[in-house]
Order: sequence, then structure tokens, then C-alpha cells
Amino acid sequence: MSASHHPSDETLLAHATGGLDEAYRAVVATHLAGCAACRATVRVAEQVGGDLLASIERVPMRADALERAMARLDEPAPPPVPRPVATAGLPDTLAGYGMGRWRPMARGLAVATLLTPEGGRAGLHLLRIAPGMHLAQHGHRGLEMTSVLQGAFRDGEQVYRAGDVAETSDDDDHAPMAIGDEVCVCLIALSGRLRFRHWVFRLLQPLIGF
Amino acid sequence: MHEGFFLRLAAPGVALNMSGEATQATLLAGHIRLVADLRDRRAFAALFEHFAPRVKSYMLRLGATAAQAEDLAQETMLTLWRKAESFDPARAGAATWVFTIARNLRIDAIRRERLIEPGEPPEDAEAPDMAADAAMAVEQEEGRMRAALAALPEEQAMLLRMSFYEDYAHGDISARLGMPLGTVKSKLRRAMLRLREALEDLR
Repeated sequence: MSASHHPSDETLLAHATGGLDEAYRAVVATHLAGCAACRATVRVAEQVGGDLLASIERVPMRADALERAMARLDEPAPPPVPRPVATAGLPDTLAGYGMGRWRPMARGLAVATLLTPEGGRAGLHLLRIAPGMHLAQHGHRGLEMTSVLQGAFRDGEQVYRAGDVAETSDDDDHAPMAIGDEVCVCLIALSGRLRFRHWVFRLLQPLIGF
Repeated sequence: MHEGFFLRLAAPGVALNMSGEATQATLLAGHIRLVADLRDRRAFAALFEHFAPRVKSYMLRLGATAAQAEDLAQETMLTLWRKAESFDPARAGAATWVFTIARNLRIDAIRRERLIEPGEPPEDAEAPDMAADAAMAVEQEEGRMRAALAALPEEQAMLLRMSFYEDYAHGDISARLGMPLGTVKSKLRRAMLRLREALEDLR
């Protein structure tokens, strides 16, 4: 599967630095698992990290640091942390993120929130959208990053299919719509609340929870 | 601010130093192989002397306390010892590999609970018998990367450094420099594009 919409270079760079909030990191990691081109870009950025590490000024370790390290070399390696199993139907990159229950938001639309233990500023959610259903027109204060896990959606002229990533930032207003025959499942990371254009949705927002 | 530090990236000496640096990178990669194949403690000690103070410095820059930075540097080196077999010189240079270990340990340390590392993409199946040639290519790539970094406009180089060394999301870099977020992003995008192009010439 080769994606046609990728995270931006600056997002891949931020991923390589380790500076992305956990929610965005999960979305990017999910895309990377299936995209060799983006993995190559991340490797370029990691090389920058390696180069900077090679030229950073050194800060002396404690006087006994090497001795301490050498003393630990014979310690048995800690038993491998058992890999949490991903919830059925979800990619492995989401293993370990506790998943809340599906909450219906509207006909043909349900949301489940994933728990992000680092407690970053961005939230991570799964969205199930029935074909033909569209999200209410909304804007964002922060960055919304969406990875399509199943099915497809259209946003304006663009069509996003499984493996694709959509980044929407700042004040872009949009009203994405699920297309095709299959239920569209998306992984969405967003910081800041959505700003729905229609007052009914603004009213419902506290109930929807994002 | 660490102006001298940022400026060093663009200093011509960096480019002139390329062959010397590449030799050192080969040496470090060789040490990691020795650790992997022979559990060579002297090689490990040499790697420790080289990398631990740098990893400590990296952690300090990202806001760790001295004690945390020291511990994370220790953990990084211990991980290097344990995972040396997984170092593939055909995929990454020694410094790049150590950087990714340090970065991942830092992310782990930030977590309240221990989880799997989601940032690890599945390994690409690349022909292992090409390792020697590929290692040479990686070394060339590193030299090329260093030259490309040195050739970046100073501002782009500074933003790249801030991305790696200051615990700021791009929005915070924007606030701190009084530069619109869109500008920060487009400058970083341009920097990444140049670096990718510089490496693609080689492929």
C-alpha cells in the first residue's frame, strides 16, 4: 500500500527529534509503519540528530561513571517488557494505548478516545464514520492530524485513503465526508478544541467531549 | 542563547574536517561491532568515553536535571551494550544510532507507565551481504550530510538545532523567536528539502 498523502517534512522532522506530543507521534508512527518513503525522510532527520550529537559540546560525567557502567555490564538484561496486544482491528502502533468505549455522536458517527499516558496537550481519538456521513463544518485552534486506518474520506478536492495522513492546521475550516462502501475509521490527534461553525454543534460539544 | 554553538554549524572548519570526522565515525562503528561480536569491554569503554558526555549534554539541553542526564547517559550506554547486535552500519552511522537510543530512552522516561515504543518502524529487508559497501555509502552520506548542514542558511540551521535541542514544539520556537509559526515551518521544510536533495544525489 503506498500512500498519496504524507505528513509534512517538518512533522517528520519533529517526529525524529522526539519532540512530537504523544498523540501526534502515534499518528505519524502509524503512517510510518506502512510508508517506506517517509521512513527514509525520518532517517535523514535522524542523521541530523546524529551529526548534532557528534558535534555537541561534552559535559563531563561523574568521576566514577565508567566504573559504574562497567559494573553493570554483567547484570542480566531486564526481562523484555511484554508487548501489549493492540485492540483487535487496530494497528500495532496503537498497542498500549488504553481505549475508551465507542460513543455514538450522531447517526453514523462514533468516537473512542485513546488514553495517552504522557498527558501531552494533544488528544488521540478514533473516529468511525459511515459512508456518506460528513463531519460538521469546523475549524481548529491547534493542529489536527488524521491517519486513515480503513475506508476513505473526501475533504474538499482531496481524497484520503487507508495509509494517508491529513494535516490541518490553524484556521482551515473543513467538513470531511466518508466515501466509498466501507465504514471509514480514522485516527485523529488534535490539540485545542474544534470550533464548530454551527451553534447546535457548539451546544453539543461538551457532550461529544472534543 | 548558545550563539557560538549555533554558529559552529555554519563554520567552514566543519566541512574541512570531513575526512577526519568520517574516520572517527568508522572507528566508532568498528567499536560497536566489537561489542556486538566479542563483548569487548575496552571497545565499550572507548564508546563510553566518547558518547556518554555527549548524551549527557543532549539531555541537559532538553531540560533534564544533572542527575537525570547522568542516568539517561548511563542507560543509553547500557542499551548500546545490550543491543549492539542490532546496530546495522548499513542503515545508520554510530552517532545516529546512539542518538536514536538516547531519544527513545528520553521519551520512555517521560512516560508515567512503560509502554512499547511506537516510533520504531518495522525493519526494511535490506541485503545484509551488501553491508560493507553500504557502510561505505553511509559514511559518504554522513560526510555529505555534514557538508549540507554547513551549507544551510544560518537561520535554517539554527531552527534545526532548536528542533533537536530545545524541548519546544514548533509553536514555542515561534513564540520565542517572535517568528510566525508558518515561517518557522516553511523554513524547516526548506531545510529538510535541501538535506534530502543533498543525500539523494548520492543514491
